[in-house]
Amino acid sequence: MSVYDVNKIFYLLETDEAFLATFRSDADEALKAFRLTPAETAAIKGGDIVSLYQMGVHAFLLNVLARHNLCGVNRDNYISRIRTLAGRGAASSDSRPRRKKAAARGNLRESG
Amino acid sequence: MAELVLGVGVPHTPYFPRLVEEGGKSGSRIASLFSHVAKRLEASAPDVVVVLDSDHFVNFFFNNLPAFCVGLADEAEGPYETSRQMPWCKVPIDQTIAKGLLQHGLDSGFDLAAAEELKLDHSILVPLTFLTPKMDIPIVPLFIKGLATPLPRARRCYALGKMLRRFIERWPGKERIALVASGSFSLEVGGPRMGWIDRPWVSTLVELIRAGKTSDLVKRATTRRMLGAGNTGGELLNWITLLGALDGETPTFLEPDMQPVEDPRDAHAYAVWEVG
Repeated sequence: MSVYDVNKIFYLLETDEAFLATFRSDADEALKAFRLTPAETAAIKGGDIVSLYQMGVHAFLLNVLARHNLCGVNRDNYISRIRTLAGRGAASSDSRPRRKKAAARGNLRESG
Repeated sequence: MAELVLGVGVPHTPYFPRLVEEGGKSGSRIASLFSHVAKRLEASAPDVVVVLDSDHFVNFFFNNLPAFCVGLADEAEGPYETSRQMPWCKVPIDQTIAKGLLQHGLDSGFDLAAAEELKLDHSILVPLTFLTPKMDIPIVPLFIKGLATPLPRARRCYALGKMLRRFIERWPGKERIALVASGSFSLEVGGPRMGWIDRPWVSTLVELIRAGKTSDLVKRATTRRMLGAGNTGGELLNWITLLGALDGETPTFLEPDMQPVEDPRDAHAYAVWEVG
């Protein structure tokens, strides 16, 4: 129910230097103002981008973890992890049409 | 009467300024394409540049996400992104024209939102870095929701562009006004299709734009089809708004830019319409 809060955390990490600094030094302190389920908190702190995406976090916002190397996420492991979802119909607030699964699979072949 | 002097469509990939500075093959290609567009913009001698752009969750978040919003501040700066990859810049805004556009919109059935304080992100500042590098030509930012669903309809954005054209033609000032649409045609940021581009869709769009078949393009640009090209595919709505203002004219310059098959990231185009 609180995916709004999860999205907001990623939004703040990209737009609020002070929040980013707090999150880097003490993630629990940064997160305490938000209404998160234990699963959401664990997914954020563990950098579990697959679960976060499946919870409905907007992928554009989620990508901030890779841009700032937060929670063990970097550009390379972000891409390899998120691509494991290609072809599955996960719900997210940026909403992908389901019939694009085939195209996504084609893409993986294309990009090797 | 003000005058629409030029229409331009360009991408805004955040690392383009860095790539260009580093030189290299990609950097040179990007610099050359932007320079081609910038020369035409300079030759059109605009007094004001209206930027058609999608806010990238910098001004707006899910608590408050307008479909259309005009920026009314006297100036704005950025990029307000903690991961910014370009220098900080400040740009003047033509408040008089921005307020005029807001009023004209309200008077003609477009209930635009308005922001008297705004932040700029890379999607406005990357194009300006290449097109008006001195950042001295006042802009009017017109934000069109393109990154979060539900998206405004393509036909509504096309009508928004027509409204913008009527506004310019009825505006009592003598300003020369250029329009810049910012955005990609196919790009997935952060989602499972990262690094894939929808080549057939980009080719279709380029063909339709080249031929001036804008009503056909608008019909095809459903939310499903746009987002089928990537989660930022709604940025096409910025181009569709531009097409509405250009009223069926064909571009005098149009160059698609797709990365090589072995390393695709995003797909977009550079275009110029010399009006009149």
